[in-house]
Amino acid sequence: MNEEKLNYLEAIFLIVIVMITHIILEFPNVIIKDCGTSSFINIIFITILVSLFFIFICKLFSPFGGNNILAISEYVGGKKLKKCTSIIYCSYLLFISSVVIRNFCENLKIVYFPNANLLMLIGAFILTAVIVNKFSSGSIVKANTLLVPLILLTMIVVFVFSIKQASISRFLPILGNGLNKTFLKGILNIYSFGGLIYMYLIISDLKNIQDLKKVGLTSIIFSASYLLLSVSSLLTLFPFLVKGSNVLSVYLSTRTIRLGKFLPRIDTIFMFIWIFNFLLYLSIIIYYVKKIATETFSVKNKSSLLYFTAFIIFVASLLVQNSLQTYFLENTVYKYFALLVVFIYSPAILIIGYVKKNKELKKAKVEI
Amino acid sequence: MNLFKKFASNVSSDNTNQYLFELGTLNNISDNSPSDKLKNQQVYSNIDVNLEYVNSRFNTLINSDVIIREFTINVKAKEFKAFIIYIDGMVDKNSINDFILKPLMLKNRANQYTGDEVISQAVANNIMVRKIKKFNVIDYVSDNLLPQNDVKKVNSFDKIAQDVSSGNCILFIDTVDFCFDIDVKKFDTRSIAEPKNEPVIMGSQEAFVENLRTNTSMIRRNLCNENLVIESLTVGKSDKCQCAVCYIKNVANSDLVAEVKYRLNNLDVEYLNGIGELKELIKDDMYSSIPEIMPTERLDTSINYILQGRVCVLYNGSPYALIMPVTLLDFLSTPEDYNLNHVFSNLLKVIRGISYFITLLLPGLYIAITTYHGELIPTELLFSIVSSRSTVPFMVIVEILLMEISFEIIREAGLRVPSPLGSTVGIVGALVLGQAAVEADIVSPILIIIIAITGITSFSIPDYTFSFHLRASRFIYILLGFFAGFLGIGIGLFIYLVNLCSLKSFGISYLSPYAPLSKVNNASYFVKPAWKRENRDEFLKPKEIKEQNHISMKWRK
Repeated sequence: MNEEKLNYLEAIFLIVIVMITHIILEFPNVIIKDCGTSSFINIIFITILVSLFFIFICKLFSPFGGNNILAISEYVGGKKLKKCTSIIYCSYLLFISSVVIRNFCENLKIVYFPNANLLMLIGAFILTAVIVNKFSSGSIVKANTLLVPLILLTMIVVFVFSIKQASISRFLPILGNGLNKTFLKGILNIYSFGGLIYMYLIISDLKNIQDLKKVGLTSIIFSASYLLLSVSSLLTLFPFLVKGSNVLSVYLSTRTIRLGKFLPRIDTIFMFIWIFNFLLYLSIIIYYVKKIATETFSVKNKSSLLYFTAFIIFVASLLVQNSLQTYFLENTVYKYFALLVVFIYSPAILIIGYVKKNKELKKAKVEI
Repeated sequence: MNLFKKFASNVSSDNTNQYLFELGTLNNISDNSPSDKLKNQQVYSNIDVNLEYVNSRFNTLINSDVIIREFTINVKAKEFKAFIIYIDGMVDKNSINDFILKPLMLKNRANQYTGDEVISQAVANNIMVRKIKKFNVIDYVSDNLLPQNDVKKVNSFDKIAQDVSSGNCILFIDTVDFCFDIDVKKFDTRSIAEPKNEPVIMGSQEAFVENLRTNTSMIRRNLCNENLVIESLTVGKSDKCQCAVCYIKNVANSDLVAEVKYRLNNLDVEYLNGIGELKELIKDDMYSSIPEIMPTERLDTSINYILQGRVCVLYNGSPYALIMPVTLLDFLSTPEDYNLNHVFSNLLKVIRGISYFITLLLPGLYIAITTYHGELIPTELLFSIVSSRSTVPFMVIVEILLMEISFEIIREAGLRVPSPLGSTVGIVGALVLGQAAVEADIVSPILIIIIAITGITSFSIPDYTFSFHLRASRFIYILLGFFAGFLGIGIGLFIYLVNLCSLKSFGISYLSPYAPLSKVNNASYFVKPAWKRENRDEFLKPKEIKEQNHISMKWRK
């Protein structure tokens, strides 16, 4: 990522992979629990809000050229704020990655490997992410660009094949749990676009900074479509009671697919896609934690940092006692953490930086 | 213990009466190799010194095929001592007799004339002014007495040694501090034949041979373009084997050509065993088993790649050319693809793509499904597999490794035995042993089907080196499938994909044109119709992106 700048498509898919990973795990279930049958309206609503928010963010980034949030933090509050921002970002990424990997491995154990040791499963994923990070950083981006279309296509395939079992009447009542839950309390579901945190970081890696708005909006649309498809599948396929299940939300949809006698359980094949998805997610997070730490704390030994990051994720993922705690961490703690970091803290820094920059520019004009 | 010692002492005492031969240790070995003192030596003006040096350097006392012929040159009624050196069997003897020795040794009238050569003369006021060319023995020999088309003046003994070894004749003349390097090569070589390892139905039936000049001439003959450049380089310090770097000057990227030459020129090796070793020494990733340079024996394949802007390296003594840079998709293409209708070509490409995955994954998937993911296949099929395995005493991993290794042994044996016996080995190995193994309940019949399909699909991969890579990698997926089912295979595939993404062949991404995404022209996975093959691929960064102007079929109008 340092070696070669990200082009338009690579940047989009880098953000999309982070967002759809959460969609595969929990988001559709959580949104359906909150809003009921009006979930798809809620998704459209939050998508519009996030898009507007992102346009605002792009405006804030405009006077800083190709600087990312860390550089802007330094500009706003010196090295102390930069370090503070780096620690917040690293904690956020490490926290969410350890929760996500724990959650996914637990699901994997329940569904496919009941006899497997959870420690081994988590270890296998983290070890793979470490190995992959040993290759050139650009290769993860390239692999991501090749795999994300496949992952997106899978959701369409799931949707198309499960349409036979779908019942449109399950969309009703159209306003689900009411206007209040759909539009007011539902605003908090904006956290499902927490993957936008990478937008604050990748701006310095973009080949063409002018693409930032396009990259952000396209990735929001891709992720929203994916979320919409998965929510629609869940809504139309299952009666309301099943929708509260804590198992992988996309997995539930794939279980309904029947392709004749020869492939009675096609969902097993989708496991490959999910494995790729989570490995990409983990590799990218480890890469970015490594990058933030190197940029801020001038770490010379990158290999040690890589092992240290992987070790922290591994240990943190094992600290969780049971799946109920994982569920709580992912849907409550992460929700507010994401809202705080992505939608409050980072924009606040940008706003201060924007005001400061504008004042400086005005001063410079007056002096001229 | 004592008994053993006694036996050992008996054995050793017996040996004392036998004829013993041991290779000397490194310290005892005298340094017979051409020392550094001999290297970079210039030709002396004294012919006796030169003769002594040549005798020493070429070991003429023990080398029976190195011929030195001493004689006297008659030039303008003067006599000069001279000698020629060549290797018997590598030169055209008639040429040496008729066009080197005869003119130099025979006393003819022109040679007897002692006067200076008058270039021009003029008379003014009864005074004659003559412009005279001063007699120079070197110019005279070179211009008048050596009726050869390729004569060079050489003064380095290193160059002399190299050229004598390649079949040239060297002429030394007394008082001259250089010598004449005369090209009189003539040796028997294999004639141009059909490609044995890369056969096609439609397409050229000419393959490269071991002789470098024959190969370069074949390329010249088939690629009539004045911009085609064939540069010569030598590789190896003691062997000094000749290589030829072929490219089209106004198409191939200059940096690419420079990089190829840089790598070839900076190989610090004594000698090379063949083009395979050269390939390994100049590729980007030293530890990867994935081929990053394509060897081909086909002339049309090489020409096609040269026209696209790639570089082809020929190596004297090898009937293979090396193509660089290459991408993964090149290893799944054949020259046939461009000769067939694009619909058929694309069908073949899809089949090859399926074969690629089957070769790599099928045995691993079989293990994963039978061990972890039985739910994926129909219950009836699962029962059938389980019942067929019920009498087999081994674990599925042992069973599959046993068969895979047996298959590889049969394949290796089929290659090594004399060709008339090859089919027999195949029949005995595949049919008789396979059937016997099933009947003896050593392996299950379904496994035989899996191994057979995997084996056959590996043959549909066009490139031998790439097929080898897949065959070797297959074992990793077998182990991963056994230890972690689809999870293991998924992890293996992911690492494999990222590894492929990290690979580069002479600066070109291995997964071009798809990762990073660039404009897809000829190198796309699917073959374009003939009338759409107008542009070269952008990822090669050729000097001219347009391969040909708009292809129009005027006759249609």
